[in-house]
Amino acid sequence: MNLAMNSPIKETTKAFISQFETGEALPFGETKRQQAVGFLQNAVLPGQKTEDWKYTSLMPITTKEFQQPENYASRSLDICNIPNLEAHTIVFVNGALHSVNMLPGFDSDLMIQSFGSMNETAQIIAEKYFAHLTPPDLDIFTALNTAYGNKGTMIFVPAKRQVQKPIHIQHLTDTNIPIGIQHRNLVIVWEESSVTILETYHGTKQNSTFRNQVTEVIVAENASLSYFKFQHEGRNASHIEQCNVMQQANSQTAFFTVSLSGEIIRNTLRIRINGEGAHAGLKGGYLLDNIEHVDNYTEVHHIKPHSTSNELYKGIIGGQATAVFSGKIQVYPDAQKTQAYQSNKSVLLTDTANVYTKPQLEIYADDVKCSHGATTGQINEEALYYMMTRGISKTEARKLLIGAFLEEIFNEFGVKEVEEYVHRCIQEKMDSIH
Amino acid sequence: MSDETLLQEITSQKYKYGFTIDIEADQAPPGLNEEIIRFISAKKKEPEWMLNFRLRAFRHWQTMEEPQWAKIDYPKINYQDIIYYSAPKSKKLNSLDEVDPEILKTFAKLGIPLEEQKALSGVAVDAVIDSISVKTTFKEKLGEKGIIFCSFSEAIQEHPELVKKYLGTVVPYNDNYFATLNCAVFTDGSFVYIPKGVRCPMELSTYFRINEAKTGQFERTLIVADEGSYVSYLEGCTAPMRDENQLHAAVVELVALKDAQIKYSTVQNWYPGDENGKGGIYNFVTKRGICKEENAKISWTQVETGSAITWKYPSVILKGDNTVGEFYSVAVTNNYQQADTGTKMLHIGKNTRSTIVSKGISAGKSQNAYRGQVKIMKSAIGSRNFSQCDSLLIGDKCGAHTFPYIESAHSSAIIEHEATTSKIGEDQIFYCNQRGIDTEHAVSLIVNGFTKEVLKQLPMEFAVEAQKLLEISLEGSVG
Repeated sequence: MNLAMNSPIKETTKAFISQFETGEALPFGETKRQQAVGFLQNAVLPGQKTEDWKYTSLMPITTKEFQQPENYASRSLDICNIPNLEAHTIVFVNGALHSVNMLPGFDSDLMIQSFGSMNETAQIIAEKYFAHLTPPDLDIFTALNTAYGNKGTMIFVPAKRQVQKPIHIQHLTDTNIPIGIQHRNLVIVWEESSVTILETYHGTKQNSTFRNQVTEVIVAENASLSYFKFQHEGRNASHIEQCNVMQQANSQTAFFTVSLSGEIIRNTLRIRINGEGAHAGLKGGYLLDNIEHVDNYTEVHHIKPHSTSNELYKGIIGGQATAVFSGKIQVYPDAQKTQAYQSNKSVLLTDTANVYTKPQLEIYADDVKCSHGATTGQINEEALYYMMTRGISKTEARKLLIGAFLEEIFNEFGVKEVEEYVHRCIQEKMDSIH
Repeated sequence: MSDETLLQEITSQKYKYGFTIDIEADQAPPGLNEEIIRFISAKKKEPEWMLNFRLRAFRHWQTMEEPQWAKIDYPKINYQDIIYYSAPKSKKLNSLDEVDPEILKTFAKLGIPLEEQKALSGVAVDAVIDSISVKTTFKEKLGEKGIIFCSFSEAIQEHPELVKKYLGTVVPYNDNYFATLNCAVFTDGSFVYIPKGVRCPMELSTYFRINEAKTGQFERTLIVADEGSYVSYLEGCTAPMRDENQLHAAVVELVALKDAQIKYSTVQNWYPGDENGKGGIYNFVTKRGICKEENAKISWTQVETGSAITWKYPSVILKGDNTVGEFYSVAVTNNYQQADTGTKMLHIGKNTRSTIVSKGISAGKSQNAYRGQVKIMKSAIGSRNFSQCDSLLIGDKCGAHTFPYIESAHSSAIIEHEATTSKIGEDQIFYCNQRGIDTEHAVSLIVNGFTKEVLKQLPMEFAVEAQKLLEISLEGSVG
């Protein structure tokens, strides 16, 4: 495809990128940033012909104009709070740091810092690992984030620490104008440590927002990480995320992604298991209505022998919503004794909803056990009927079935308050879907 | 026996059917341009509309790019280096005695002599040697029922109205790179028409062979089953040993009208190249059927053991209500073979159903991919699909891949997809060994069990050959 400099797509891309250009840069990662700026010179937005974007049109994002976020004002954060949850929190409002609240008696070696106000040690670590797992020229959104993003969270758990309370990264958008937010997370869990991270996204108004996020996660030997992402930013909020994870030997991860509202949500979760005996868990759930669009793109790379992965994505799709799932499992030539499982289950509530599923297995080692399964269907009429004969109203029965269907996704997170909260949000959303 | 020795045995299995027939061919100079197309068309005494069909396709082809998306890797094909027309000398024969004895010998070597087939199995054979039909048997018998089974060139001459009506309706002239090329330069193939309400009394069969060096084989098959009819069609291929890569770009179109049923079975055993990946056939085939009206059914069954490269996706368009599409496939790759094969099921009509069962076996340094699509359109109320893709790996240098695309646009549709990849379990082999079955037979048993679901779909006559071919491909290693 030879795109002339002035082709329409090139122009659109240029205009799109220019909205996010900013002079403020981070105190680290200058080389990577230059690389990203260079890449953006000739980058073009992916279209439907791009295999990885086949089912997700970026039109709703690229046709809008976004402004730089206004300076944050202290507004009510109630909406972000999860009842009874005790957690270290770091709060961002409209992309800018609002506050960091550490629970009393926290380990002083544990770093939870905003990119804007990092101490010297944190900067040295960041310099080393910034854009380490996510090459600046990976794709246009990554490059955009690397080049012009200057907000982010860094979480560093030193070796042999068990962080008891979860770390909660809160994002709130509260704006009267369409804004573009670039955020970045750098999470490093050192050897033999463990931590639980919760990242939530909320919005107070139904304004268009575009969030472009890059998350990099390193889980060292024998470390374990549980990471929950809860996306409920409003039906006009778009969210594109590139999450790259590297796991070393005997590490354990569990990723949970629950999407409850958004105009265009694209979650890329790429896990590279680069050590023996490691395990990765990936779970995702979505409940969509109206014209919401959620695209979960996952890749699990088994590079070394004796590693396992288990992936389960489930969704309920109503209205004219669209759910896309692409899941790739790649087993490298020497990764013998790999066990990798993947499953995607969708329930369509209406005849105007769409589901696209694209599981992929690429296996280059022989002594492996890999499987993937995908199902698409509707709510079981018999189960519905059974409940109705026992005096449960149809609406209530549907709610129960859908709740139970999605429950499996988040009920192993291990933080009861969060599980209850997500459950309640799902029930609330169900009330608005019929 | 260790894995390594097993592997060595597979790779040392030579292609049993490798030999060359010496028939002086009447062929076009290598290269592709409008002149060549006019030459082919003139040579075959085609009417004006056929020439126009070819030229339109050729002009479109020149604007197309070779597809790159498949998981296959091969040196660039020089389309100007291929001979697009070559025909054996003898034509128009009335009895088997007139068939060139060399050709008869060829078939004898293949274990499928025409006589034996004629006498014992009741199979009518339309044997294609190097792009032109030499002999069509049982024609009279089929004629009584009103069934037309002839070479494509003959159909153009004798049944132009049918060819005109259906040619290019399932695979349009601009469908894809290889299909378009085929439209421009196809030399011959088979044509079948089953009239209303007729159940074809025998299995129709065509054996293909690539014969002349550097001859691209561009076959075209069109099968039309009119209302309420039934036909089972068999296609089988073997090719002589060659060092140079040969291009094969066939097109098969199936049309099933109301209540009609077409069963299309293939055993493909083109020369796969030697143990170093040298030579072998490039098999780029477009196969598609349409269940045009209610209650029609199309079933594809394929056993793919040959070719250096297989690029093949027999598909079904389920247009009529209550129509059924089926795809059963066994693909075996060994040495440096590459296969990217699967199916497409396009559900348009109400209550349409499709079943996909695909079994891939990779050994040696081969790559075997399943690529398939199930698409449920908004109009396909109450549709159902079940897909199962299993891969078996033999040796640690090969690859097995699965790329299914599942698209649903209706809540009443139920789609299920399962895929697994594994190797033959050591415990399974041990269990057999314990009971006095040696490893070789144990593996054979397991592979047999693995592929049985597909092989049982084949007609009797074919199942035997299919099993033979599986043996050639994997004997000593897995069987």
